[in-house]
Amino acid sequence: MELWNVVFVCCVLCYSFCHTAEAIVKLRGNETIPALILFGDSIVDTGSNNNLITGLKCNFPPYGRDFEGGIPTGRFSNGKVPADFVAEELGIKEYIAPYTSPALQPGDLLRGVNFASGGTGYDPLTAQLVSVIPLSEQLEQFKEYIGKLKGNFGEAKTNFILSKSLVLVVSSSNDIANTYFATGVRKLNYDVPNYTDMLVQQASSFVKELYGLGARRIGVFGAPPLGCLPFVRALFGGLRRLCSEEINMASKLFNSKLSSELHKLNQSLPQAKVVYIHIYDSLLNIIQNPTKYGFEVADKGCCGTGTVEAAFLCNMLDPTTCSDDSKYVFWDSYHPTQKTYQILVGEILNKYTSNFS
Amino acid sequence: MRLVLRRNQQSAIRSERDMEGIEGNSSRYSLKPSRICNEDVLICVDVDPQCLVEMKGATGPNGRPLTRLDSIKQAIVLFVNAKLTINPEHRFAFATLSNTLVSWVRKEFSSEIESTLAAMRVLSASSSSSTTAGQPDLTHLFRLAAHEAKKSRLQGRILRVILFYCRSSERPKHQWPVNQKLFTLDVMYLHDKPGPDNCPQEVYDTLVEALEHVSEYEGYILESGQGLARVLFRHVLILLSHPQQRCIQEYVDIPKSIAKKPPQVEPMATEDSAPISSQ
Repeated sequence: MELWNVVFVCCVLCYSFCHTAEAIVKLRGNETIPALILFGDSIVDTGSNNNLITGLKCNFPPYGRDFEGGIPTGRFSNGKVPADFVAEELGIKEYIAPYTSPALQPGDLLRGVNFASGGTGYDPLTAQLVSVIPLSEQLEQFKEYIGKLKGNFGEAKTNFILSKSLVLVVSSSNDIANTYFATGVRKLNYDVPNYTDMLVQQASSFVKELYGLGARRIGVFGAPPLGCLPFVRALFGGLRRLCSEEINMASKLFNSKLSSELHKLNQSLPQAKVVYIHIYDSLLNIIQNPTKYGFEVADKGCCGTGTVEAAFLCNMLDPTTCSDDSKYVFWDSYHPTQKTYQILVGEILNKYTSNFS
Repeated sequence: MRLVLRRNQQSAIRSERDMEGIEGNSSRYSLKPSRICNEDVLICVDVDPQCLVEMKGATGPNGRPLTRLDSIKQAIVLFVNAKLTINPEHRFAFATLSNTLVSWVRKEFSSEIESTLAAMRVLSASSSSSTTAGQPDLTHLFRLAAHEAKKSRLQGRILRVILFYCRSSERPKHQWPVNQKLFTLDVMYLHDKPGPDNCPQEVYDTLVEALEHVSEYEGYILESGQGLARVLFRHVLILLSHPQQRCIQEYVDIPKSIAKKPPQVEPMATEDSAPISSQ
């Protein structure tokens, strides 16, 4: 090999090494985030539902067709979900394993785990309706996790991990879109203002529990524009399948209350960083201006007809599934595509990382 | 011990009749074109004190456990909400069944979900446990339904009755003409687990008999002794099916079990297991 080739190859290798070794997102004072811990629903579930007896699973094709190796791991999209992009950007290992994964190793515990279960919500009834892991059970698993950390690495290391890790809570979508509006079972006891009050109180209690267990960096996602999900358009959008303004109003009401409550918690819990993460407008922007982001279709999912299919209704038997999902904002009738998630996570991290310093 | 969910011979007879119809034509299956009527649904809830038995798992808005009645109310809201999503022209009215009589909760059939919510809010358990204990009589419910059914038919609609029954021991009685089939009755039966003090199997059999006796189309009866709201919701969703589009209940295989079936073990061949004799 000629000398200039050798030099070139060395430079390329050196550059790659520097790039992969260095976390892209940094906090003030050269601090890093050692672990990522996730709670919530299908937006961040990376396979927790695979071993449950529930209809809300997606560990089968075409889910995951753009994931590494084309393997359907139980992520509710064609590829990566926010859990993956956040871990990647924080410089944590590439994938955060579900806590219930049989392949979980002690070393994985140091990088954080994923307790999120698709279909759950702040309302305990939400998880009941579809037989998935409610937030209360996810919290119990978290306590188990803490016990395992202490058992393997000692109390001091455990406290360090918990206080420095980023804990993300992603919930409420299924409460509002499914439990309240699609099934209507909660309309008997609550109107929208009262129901959103209840959800916010549940979220607040959950955050306090996490704080009590040692978490100090807690990000809580707000509700997306649920009225614009393809599934909600199909049910509530009329013949033209417009975004449901009623359901978007419910999302916004919940978000304003959640933001206010989390601000209070941030003030009252010592040394805590409790951050409300607003995703409503980012996603709404993409839905309303798809071509600006390189999309073509924003009112239907890629899978099947894209109007109602999700979980087992989204399967390989349906010939109408799209071939090019990079043109689609939504993968199925409920969940964004990998490309959409990547855009959203980029915006979120850019906007909120400094809040956790 | 589990209830034996067996429908009587009438299902078999009906099945044979259907088969005769098919055999008479070509071997190819086909559906006759027909207009599907809008439904008037009369939902009747048994408000015997046993409807206050607590359900497992779920909690109400104030943290108290959900009672059977609470879960029934939620199931009704779920049912009406879904039914109106399918077809906004269906209408609903509400009544209660106690020991001596059937009472209207909301007499006017309405297509508004708010009407259902209002009816559910005023629905409460009977406190008349001291008054006239004994068998509830479905005859009054059937008379009331038949009366409403005539009005529905004039409007080109069909009448359905959905009865939520909550008693583990008390068999309902009824007297009804054999040939008067003006409406379709569905039953959702919630009961305690079978034990020395009760016999829900007998109650179930009686309800099946009543249902077969009065129903115009195929009526469904579903039961649960598990005390789980989730199971009740799943059963109620089966009742979304339109009476004119139903198959016989024993052919209904939804919701399909999503648990994996254990692999079937092949019986060992006789030759392999034969003992080897030694001289």
